[in-house]
Amino acid sequence: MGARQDSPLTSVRSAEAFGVEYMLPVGRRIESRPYTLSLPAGTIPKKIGMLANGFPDADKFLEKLSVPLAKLWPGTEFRVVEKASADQLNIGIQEPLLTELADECDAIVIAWGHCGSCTGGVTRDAVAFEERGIPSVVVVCDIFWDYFAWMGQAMGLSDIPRIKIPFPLSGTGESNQLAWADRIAPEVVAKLEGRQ
Amino acid sequence: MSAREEFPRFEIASSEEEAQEQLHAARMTDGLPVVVPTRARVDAMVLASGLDGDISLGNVGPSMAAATVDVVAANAVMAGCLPEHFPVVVAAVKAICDPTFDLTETQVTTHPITPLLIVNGPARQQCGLHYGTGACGPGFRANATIGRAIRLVMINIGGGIPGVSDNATLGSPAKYSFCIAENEEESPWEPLHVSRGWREDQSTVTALSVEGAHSVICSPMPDAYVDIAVPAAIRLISNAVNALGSNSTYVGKGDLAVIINPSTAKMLADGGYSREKLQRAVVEECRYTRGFLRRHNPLVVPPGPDDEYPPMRDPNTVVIAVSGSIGGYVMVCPTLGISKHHHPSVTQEIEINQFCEIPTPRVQN
Repeated sequence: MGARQDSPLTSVRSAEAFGVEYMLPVGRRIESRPYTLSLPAGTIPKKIGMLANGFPDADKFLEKLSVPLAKLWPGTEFRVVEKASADQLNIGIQEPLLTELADECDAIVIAWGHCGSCTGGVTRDAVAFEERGIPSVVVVCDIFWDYFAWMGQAMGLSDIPRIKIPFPLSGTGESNQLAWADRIAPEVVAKLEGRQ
Repeated sequence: MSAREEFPRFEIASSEEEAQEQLHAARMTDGLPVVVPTRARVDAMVLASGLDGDISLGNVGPSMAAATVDVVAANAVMAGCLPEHFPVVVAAVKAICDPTFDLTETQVTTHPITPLLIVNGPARQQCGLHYGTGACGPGFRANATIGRAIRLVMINIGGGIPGVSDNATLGSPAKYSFCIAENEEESPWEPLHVSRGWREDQSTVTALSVEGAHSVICSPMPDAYVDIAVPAAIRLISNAVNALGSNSTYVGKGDLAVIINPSTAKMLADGGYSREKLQRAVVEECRYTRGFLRRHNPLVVPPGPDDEYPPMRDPNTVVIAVSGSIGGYVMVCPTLGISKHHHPSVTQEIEINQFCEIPTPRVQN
């Protein structure tokens, strides 16, 4: 027994008795604030920016989405604009386009979160417009849905308005994209008006 | 996680085994067993840096949490680093936190890029890094654990948790650890860091976001065949750099790596190729037209005149390092190239000999 008390196992048992204290390997993150922006209730916006991120079909989908939105918001003008070329679809909107849209639009519809890189980019877009006081809603594929929420929190903004679409919607054809544009249009209005 | 919380934070477990399980359950590992970051082990690691534990080395995307020396040290302990490895880890964290490095984009993309670390200078010997046979691993503790420490920093401080915010479709074995050192002694060219403006007696780590290594056959030939073998090697390397399945081929941007074994490097040097001339040759050898690339991938190549596409990449984006031992294989690591700064490489000095006396931990818990 004496020999066993001197063995390495003895010290392990002692450590077990007193427990092990260890450092959690995580860093301090910024605190996120809740998203609070919305369009004034009961008003028809004058102009909505439809921001495409350069991912295939994002601009075409926003064109299609403008049609049912125009029926829900009669008289509203829609401006579809592409923020970047495909080789920079993961960055946030840059100047001067950011200021231009913030100055002329009441709200922004952003499309789309269709890959890991571009979902990060559209999150940056929503944060940039929130900082300018312009409400936005982001169209995000189901497989990047949770990641989009995580990314918003990491950037200091929780619960950024988002609308779920299936992955993929890019490349699935005119009729399918038209159907999804019709389907989500009421939700776009509701989210931008802060009703959902 | 509130900004008002005390940092660093500590946890209690009944045993090292339970601590391991807690860390795995909290998704604070890379899936492999870790060394539990006890206070004594972390303290020894911090001392090796010569820095105070609360100093921030930068913010790690995408979470942008602060990489304080103590928390980085905890990750280095978990990776299995020795204190003498830690100065390389510190420099590498500074490099990947450089805002131009585009770490957030590296972390969140569905593409499998990961930081490759290339160490130069006296730190290679002082930290025990390997640069001979099997330079890309496995089998060498300093290389393996330094590279692993950076991955754990990216997971735990940066928040790059696979399936949560690391969206890589298939992931990559290179994401576990990817750290090499240049074989300066057998290289026919000046060391990589000297070519980038550093002194030979300085130590550096160069970080670049790349895919795992793709092998290219470039057999060194006897002198009688050099006229054939040199242009063949350049063609083959260039075709791997501009592979039709690689993202960076379609962008023409982003720093990528070409890791050349010493014998092929000597053959190329004997054939009249300096590092700079080789960089130019690699980008000039394999160029495409818009029509050719559109036939291969019409989704990412916009229509237009059948001109050269994309514009020829900057030769400096081809980062050439000599490593490994005699043989016929070269490694090419393409990149993504899609980000604000197009994934440039960043070189950071390694501050060695800054440590305080490294004590042997009195207790192992």
